[in-house]
Amino acid sequence: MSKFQSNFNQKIDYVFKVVLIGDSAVGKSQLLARFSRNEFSIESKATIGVEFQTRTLEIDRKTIKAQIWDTAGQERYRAVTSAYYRGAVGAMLVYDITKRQSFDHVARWLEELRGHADKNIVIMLIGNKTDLGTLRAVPTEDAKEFAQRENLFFMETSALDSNNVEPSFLTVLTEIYRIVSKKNLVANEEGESGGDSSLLQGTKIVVAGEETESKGKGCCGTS
Amino acid sequence: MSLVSGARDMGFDDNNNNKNNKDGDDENSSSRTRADDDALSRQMSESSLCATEEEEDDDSKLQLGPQYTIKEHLEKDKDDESLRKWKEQLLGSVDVTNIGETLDPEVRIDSLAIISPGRPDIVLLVPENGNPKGMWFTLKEGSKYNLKFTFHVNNNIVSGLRYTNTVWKTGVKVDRAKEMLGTFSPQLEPYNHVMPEETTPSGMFARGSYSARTKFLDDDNKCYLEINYSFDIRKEWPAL
Repeated sequence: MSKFQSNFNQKIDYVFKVVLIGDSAVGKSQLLARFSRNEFSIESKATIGVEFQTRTLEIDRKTIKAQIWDTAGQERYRAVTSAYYRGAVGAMLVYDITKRQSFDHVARWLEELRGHADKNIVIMLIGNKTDLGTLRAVPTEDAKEFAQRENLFFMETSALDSNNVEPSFLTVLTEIYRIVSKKNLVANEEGESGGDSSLLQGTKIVVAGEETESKGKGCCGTS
Repeated sequence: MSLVSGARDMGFDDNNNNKNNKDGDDENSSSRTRADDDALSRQMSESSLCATEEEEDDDSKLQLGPQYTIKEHLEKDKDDESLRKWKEQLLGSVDVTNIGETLDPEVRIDSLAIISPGRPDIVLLVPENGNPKGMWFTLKEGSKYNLKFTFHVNNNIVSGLRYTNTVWKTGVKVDRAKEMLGTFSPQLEPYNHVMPEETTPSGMFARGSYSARTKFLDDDNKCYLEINYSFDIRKEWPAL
């Protein structure tokens, strides 16, 4: 894994816009607060007045500014439109492991994300609130399977005890960096082998990142 | 790939099919096949104007939270400067001249264009009745192309606008595609949405006439356009 350190004296080599999406009350803002300030606010009001948070870090001796956008709770009112996604190169798609419905909606959020965002966008599926393990309603396996099928990274996190929060953002940012710096995306333009789906089907993107040094798709430990 | 659970009412009006309440069914499940048969049988009907959602099977249980008019959006927390600014960003360049108190968005699909490298764009205007006469367009076999939709959104935010396309050849369904375009705020400027690149099929069995049905629906399964049309795939592009 690359070294990550903040260094504010350096010039910024890259700015990466990353969006947080998912149902309301799954802990998106808490994750963001954890990552950008490493703190958890116990008073978890619905998000108000946050545009985005930034954190500067170093990957492969380049200074990366992560600009992470939150929905400010407006997803409750269907107010999150195409303008939100514009220019995003990464996305954290968050559900609450104790709320089945928030996981059921992941497919819809993913579709919307893919409709709006750049097709090379790096996506991390996040099952948040592992600190509430006893109330778990979404088995890790279900989410892992979904993530594999959809070519997403996957981790379970706790914004409360900060477990896996840092690695989840860093995995996404590192992958974005890999893509941007090496342009090693492979667009798999062959249709599915099923045959009948090749006529007017969306292009599937294979992110050449299975072997990435970070644990990639497999990392879902909740230890 | 939907994970939405619960029984679905697919709204068949002429053929009560009670096998269609299976969850998360894959492409080959029996319920899907039966739904398609039904779609096929009604394909010839001239009157199927968005009336039924026989093909819409997996998103109907989705509840995305309340819908508010644009005016209500802007009035919420309007004393909060930062949230107000944030909303402006979320909503994009909202058409404020016509500040909506209307709950239902209006989506007008202006045109569909077929963009193929080295060819002039084929721009297809959508006829008033949604049913173009005759062969709507001709494509060359084995060609790469992108579809581009141009549309207007008025009154309110349209949530989860998606496109579905079903293609038949000699009465047999050969393809079904579904793609989310996304959520759009009302604005004066049209939106352009370019779909991922596709390649037309090729070979003796691929050439010929096809019929197709294209629909645009939103998260509430409201249908904004249904077009039934025919097109050709030939060895060559038509002469310009």
